[in-house]
Amino acid sequence: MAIDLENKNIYLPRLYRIMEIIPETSDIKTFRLDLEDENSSHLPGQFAELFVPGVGEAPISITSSPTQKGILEFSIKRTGLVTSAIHRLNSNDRLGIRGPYGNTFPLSDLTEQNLLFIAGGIGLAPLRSLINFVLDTEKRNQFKKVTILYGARSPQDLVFKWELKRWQMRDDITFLLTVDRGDDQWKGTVGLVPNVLKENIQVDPLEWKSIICGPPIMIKFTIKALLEMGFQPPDIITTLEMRMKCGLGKCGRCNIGPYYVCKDGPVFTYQQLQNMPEEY
Amino acid sequence: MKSGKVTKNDLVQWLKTHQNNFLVTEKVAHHQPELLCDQSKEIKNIKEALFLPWDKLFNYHWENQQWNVDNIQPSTSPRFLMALPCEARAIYEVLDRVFLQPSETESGYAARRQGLKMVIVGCINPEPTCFCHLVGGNPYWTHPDALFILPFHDEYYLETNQPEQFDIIEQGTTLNKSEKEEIEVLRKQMEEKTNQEKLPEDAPQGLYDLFEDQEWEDLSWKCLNCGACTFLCPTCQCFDMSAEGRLKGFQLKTWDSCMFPKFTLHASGHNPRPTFKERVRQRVLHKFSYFPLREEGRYGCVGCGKCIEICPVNWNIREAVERMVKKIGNRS
Repeated sequence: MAIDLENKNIYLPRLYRIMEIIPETSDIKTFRLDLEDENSSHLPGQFAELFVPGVGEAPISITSSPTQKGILEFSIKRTGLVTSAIHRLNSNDRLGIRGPYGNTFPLSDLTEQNLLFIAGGIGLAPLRSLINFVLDTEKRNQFKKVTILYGARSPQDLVFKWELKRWQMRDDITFLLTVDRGDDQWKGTVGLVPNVLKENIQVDPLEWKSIICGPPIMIKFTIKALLEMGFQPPDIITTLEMRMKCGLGKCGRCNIGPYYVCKDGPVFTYQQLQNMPEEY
Repeated sequence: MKSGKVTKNDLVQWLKTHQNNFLVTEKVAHHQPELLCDQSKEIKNIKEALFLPWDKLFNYHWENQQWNVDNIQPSTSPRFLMALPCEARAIYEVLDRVFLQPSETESGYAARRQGLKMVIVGCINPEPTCFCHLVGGNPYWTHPDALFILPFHDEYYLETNQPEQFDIIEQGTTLNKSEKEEIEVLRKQMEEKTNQEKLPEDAPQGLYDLFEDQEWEDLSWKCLNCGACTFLCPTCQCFDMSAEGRLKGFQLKTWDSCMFPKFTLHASGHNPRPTFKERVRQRVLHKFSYFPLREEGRYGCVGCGKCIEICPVNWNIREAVERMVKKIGNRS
């Protein structure tokens, strides 16, 4: 094998300034980073390794769309060591980034199609990148009808509330919001995502592509509901989560069958998942 | 291809002139102690030469109220590495394919690899734990870039495609016709043995299809999940990355093992490989199914038998693979 010595250090992160931190829920914040006149080279569905010096790295999906110039956004749930450290950062602090990594949502298969987005909780973060890509004024006419179904455990757990309002106001998409349990102020739909999907969304399953992301249990039952509605496995697209370190298919952690989720994924169709060991 | 033979004394003299930068694997040291010099450095596992057990990736520090990261330039000093064919295959067939992937080349590995001159020592006394034939190797396997040496009638047979890298070849005398034939016959015998004993072509896919088989439960029962096998394995490539030092430190890459439960543990507490069964299955299938399915049939195991040798409970990967391969398509 030829050796390329010109190669850069693939593990070296670049530090970017945090422009803004947007609190989403009690344990989720969105971090907007300043790319300083650069534009991000990522495509919807990709992720990056975020590095906090002295603490470590965590793989986080990129929630901003590449059509948003000069910035990168990550919505992060405070869960482990690194995400807790990221939550302690302030505006103007610097955060290390390497990436973008992974495959993307299959954009060429999605153009000229009707798109049904289904997200649960923080699972909206990776989908938001694609949704805003599709809704961009220059891109919107490349896609047909767009329906978004978004659910969370409670009204307090909804993320991107400011964005949801923007989507609700658009007349070129259908937007449905649901929560598992409402509260005194909640006037919207109450119900689990798979149930709301079956009851409220009437589409011709052979004419639509569905892109879903959320907690594993929600994905499982949503896929079941979509299949009942008549969706075909290649038309159901989702993303997998695995523990990752390198992001480049070398460290071995995210290996499932002959695939590395960090390199060959994280986006897979349900048809691909059916042919993979269920080890995720 | 340039070949010839030299006396043992000439070879040892040549080794001595390079002894300050000569690495020798434990297996070679054990098989051919006469090739050791005073200064040659013995390594337990061949991968230590390239894929360091403990590797600094970059430095970071807090200064002027902000974080800074500084790259570390990898060193490139030339070295010789003397290893058995099975061990050398771990580099050519497995590690190079992981760490030298175009566009994702690991600069540290590439620099060390560039400076490395491989001396492959033909294996004359295979051990009962060895099984290189099963995975496509043989005791005389060599690579055109390397210097191949083989004890031959009180002398040493040498061959290489890189005479300028291994000047010892110039001191060699040409083999006569019968000697040439002898080498060819030996080679042929070993290649035939490989062709006869090699795992069946469909083994990687067949094993993959047996993912859900109940036998894995039984196979994993004895394993302690201590990870000793993975640390002594020349092809095990999995690693961890961690930040060492609070305000001033470095990002560290260290060997890791799929035998450990935390290897795949999610921050949420979910673990895709929660028990011994999944982890043992992962080690076997990654080497004998997943890697060959990705890498044009090349096994992620070179059959050196090191893991069998050192396992505290005599867990035998060869037996496990042969047992599962027998089940493919219910052949018996």
